[in-house]
Amino acid sequence: MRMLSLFLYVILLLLPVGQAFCQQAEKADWPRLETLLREENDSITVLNFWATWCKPCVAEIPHFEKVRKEYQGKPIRFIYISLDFAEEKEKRLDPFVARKMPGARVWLLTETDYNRWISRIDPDWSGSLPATLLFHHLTKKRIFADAELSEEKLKSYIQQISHP
Amino acid sequence: MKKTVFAFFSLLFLALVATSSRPLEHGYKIGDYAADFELKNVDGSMVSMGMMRYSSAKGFIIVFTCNHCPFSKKYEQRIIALNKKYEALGFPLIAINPNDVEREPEDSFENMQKLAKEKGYNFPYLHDEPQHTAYHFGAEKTPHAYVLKKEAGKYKVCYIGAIDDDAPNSKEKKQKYVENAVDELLAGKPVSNTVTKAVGCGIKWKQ
Repeated sequence: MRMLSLFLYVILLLLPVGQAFCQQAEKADWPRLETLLREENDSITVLNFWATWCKPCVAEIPHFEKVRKEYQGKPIRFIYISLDFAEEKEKRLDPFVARKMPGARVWLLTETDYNRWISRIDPDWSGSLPATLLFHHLTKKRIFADAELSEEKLKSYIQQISHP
Repeated sequence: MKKTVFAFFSLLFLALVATSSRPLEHGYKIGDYAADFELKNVDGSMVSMGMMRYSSAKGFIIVFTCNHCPFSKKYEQRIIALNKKYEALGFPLIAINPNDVEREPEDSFENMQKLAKEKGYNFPYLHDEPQHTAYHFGAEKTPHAYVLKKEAGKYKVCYIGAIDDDAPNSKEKKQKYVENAVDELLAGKPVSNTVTKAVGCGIKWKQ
């Protein structure tokens, strides 16, 4: 009996933690992403295009997460745009998000016609992953990189973009 | 004499700086002629576009693809269907795996053989072990498709990009880029949509 109550107590303790980590990707279509690109916002926006099946993307996520946490409370927002297949959201994407990037904003892009939007992110982008777009309406600056970024590189881009 | 040596070295230096500051241009553009290749097929034979088997071909559908990539997997059935439809019309399909096996063990020659057998590939599935072919074509991803038209024994690049606009295979109505290109060539017309962007897994180049 004592064991059982102890067990229940432990379960109760764990519950809120479990919930806090219960993170899921949000589905987003191209118009939503386009709105995000256009809207006036005083924050720096960092968009990281990735997918769970893309090895270099998965490799750079810890760097992004580290920088994101470091800048928490500052006017900068990180949004991860996943190009995973919509049908694999529950099976593959959500568990990955919960495990590797709890608390991050992850959008699952539902627009599968890549030729509709890839050039709109950057005309020179071939569509290769990972890719990162940083922009800031206040400084009118934007940086696009279609390569795997280190923590230092990402930080230097944020520095560059925050000064007019 | 000293002056000429100096001038020579400064020129050499300038040339080096000029070339190193930007990546070397490679990869075919629309209208270029693609070089033939000779690569090992899953059945052990060597395959090239110029071989007897293809003497009556009007052109080729070349697809850089592989085993491991989820995008390539999505297209397995669709490339089988492409070859089924177009080989008889004179545009056979050739699939080429360009990935470095060390970086992606799932794309080994043995696994290619297994996949080709399992899926019943009705076209050659070649191993671009030296990665020269993928490099010359300028392929970046898997899958990455090219439509070539045979012109006096040469292979003119007429389309580069995605197979269609629906990688997850979720739409009823697709923009079938490769099919449209081949249909236009068969009708004796120029290809209207020559380049699209393909999303897929980056080719694993040797490091």
